[in-house]
Amino acid sequence: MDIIISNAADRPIYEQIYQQMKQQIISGRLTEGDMLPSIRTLAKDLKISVITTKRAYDELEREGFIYTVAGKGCFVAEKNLELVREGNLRELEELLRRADALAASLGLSDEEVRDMLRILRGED
Amino acid sequence: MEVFDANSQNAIKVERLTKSFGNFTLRDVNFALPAGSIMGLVGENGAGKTTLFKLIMNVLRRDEGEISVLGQDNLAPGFDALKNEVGVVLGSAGLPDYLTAAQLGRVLRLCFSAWDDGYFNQMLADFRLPEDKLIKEFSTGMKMKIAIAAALAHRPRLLLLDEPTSGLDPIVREEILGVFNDFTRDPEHAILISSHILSDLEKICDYIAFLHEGRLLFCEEKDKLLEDYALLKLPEADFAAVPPGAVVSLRREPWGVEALVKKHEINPAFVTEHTTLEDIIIFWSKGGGAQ
Amino acid sequence: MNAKNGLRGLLLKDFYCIWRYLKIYLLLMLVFVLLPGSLPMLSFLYAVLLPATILAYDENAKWPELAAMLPFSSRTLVFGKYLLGYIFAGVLLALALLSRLVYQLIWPLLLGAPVDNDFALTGEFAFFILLTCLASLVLEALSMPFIFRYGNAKGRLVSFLLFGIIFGASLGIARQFDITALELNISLPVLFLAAAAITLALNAVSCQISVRMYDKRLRGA
Repeated sequence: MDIIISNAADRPIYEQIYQQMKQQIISGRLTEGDMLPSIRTLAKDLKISVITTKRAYDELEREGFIYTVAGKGCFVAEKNLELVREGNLRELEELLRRADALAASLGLSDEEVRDMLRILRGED
Repeated sequence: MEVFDANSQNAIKVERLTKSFGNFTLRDVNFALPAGSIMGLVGENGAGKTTLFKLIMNVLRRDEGEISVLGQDNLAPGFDALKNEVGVVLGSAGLPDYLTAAQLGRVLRLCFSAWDDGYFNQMLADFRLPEDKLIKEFSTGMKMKIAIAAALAHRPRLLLLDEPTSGLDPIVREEILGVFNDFTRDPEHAILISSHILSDLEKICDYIAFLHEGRLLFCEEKDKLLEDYALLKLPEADFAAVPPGAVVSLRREPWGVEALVKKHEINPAFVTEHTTLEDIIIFWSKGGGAQ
Repeated sequence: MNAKNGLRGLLLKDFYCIWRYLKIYLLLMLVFVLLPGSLPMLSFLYAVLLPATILAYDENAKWPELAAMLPFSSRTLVFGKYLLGYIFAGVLLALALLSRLVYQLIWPLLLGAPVDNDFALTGEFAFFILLTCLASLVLEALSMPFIFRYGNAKGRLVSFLLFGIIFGASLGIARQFDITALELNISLPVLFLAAAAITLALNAVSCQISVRMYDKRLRGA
């Protein structure tokens, strides 16, 4: 499992782990039943905080991407397409929220924002 | 999914700790270091860091409050024996420098109940320390490494490290930080480390405690600090739009204002910069106490 | 158990220190203890100074601060230094007596004459050397608290002053009274027992005070 942490990135570290693991599960690089490194091992290998790593695992577990077997460890859960879609939707929502805040600070109207999106998609 | 086992104890628990001597007072200090984690202790010279280490080991006797170490009150009769499970490195105080590394091993083997010769020799080899050279002839970095090897070789559960990286070059520091990182792979191990080199603490700590003039200003999860605070740079005129409550402290520069702000209390439209632990500590020590 | 092993560790460290820096002391002690007459007395004087000298090297390395973190009490740390003095005094005593015994046996073989009185194992010599040994332990008991309180340099100055006063006073007293007259009233075994008891009591009290002094100094550091 490859995870690359950037300390300079504006994204919190737990989110970087969460995103990268989720991506690997969605893309199929991690498949159902794969055992994940323990929180402590991953944290120490990445030289990051144990608490932060736990937060990422907690988030992944809450969203159903992984599950824990007490005394054994964490495993990749069965891929639930509905769940994946839901996750992606949530991410889109977050991005839109940021775009909206930016648009508001620029004083753009809804119409102008919609135009920009259309141009980006290559529509006329 | 347990990181900190529910029935695992705190490696250190300090409550309402107060100690005065001379004209210095350490006042009402409270914190807990959970087993399995590393806490960085930050503060200027004279803030009380070394005093706190001495109080934890009961070298200094506290005036008020409670201190328990590895689940035991440090005034309890068994505490001297419990010290077998605590490894200490004092950056300012040294091992008898008229000994060679090998002689030191022979002396300390008698001093600690669980001294591990094999482990000690392994560390000497790993750190490339000669066995038969006097410690006084070691370089600063080598002296620190042998102190760390001595602190680890009796298989402690808790490490107390007072300035273990000061005066060392970046390569040696990196090597030593790696050792501390690996030490806490065991969920029963914990480290309390003080350093002036905040980037070192940012690298390895789970928690940061900030002592300022004998008081604990905060004790917080490191990544939460880095997420909660941000640097904001604005022209003086624009700065009025920032809610004063969100500002920890600020610095006026020729081009405008630089401030440490609570990220979640300002409008996300403001463009903030990622902070470092160093920024947070510097801004807090200038004005954080007033917040 | 811990304290016992700890003491062994501390003593080993001190012996390494002596071997590293104080070989000349060892040599002088050995030479003086073999010399005739009252010269062995000097060996005991060196022995008294030894613990303080090692403490100076320890303080130079700031070892006491780190030693306070070891798994035993400051009582053990302090007693270790006393014990070092006792060991040296004991070994010197044995050497002094043993060497006289050897002289007594070998002298006639080599020189064909009975041993010179200055080298002989007389009752007088045994009496003298035992008293010297006890006196050295008394000196140790008197000086150590100062050493532990003020460190080697200042502490030694204070204890030297003290020695001077005591010596002066006892010389004065000795001149005033006829000691042989006193001796008549007390049997030798009783005198020794009394001297030993006083020495023991002084050392016990001294050790208690030293522990307090040590803690005080450490806390100030």
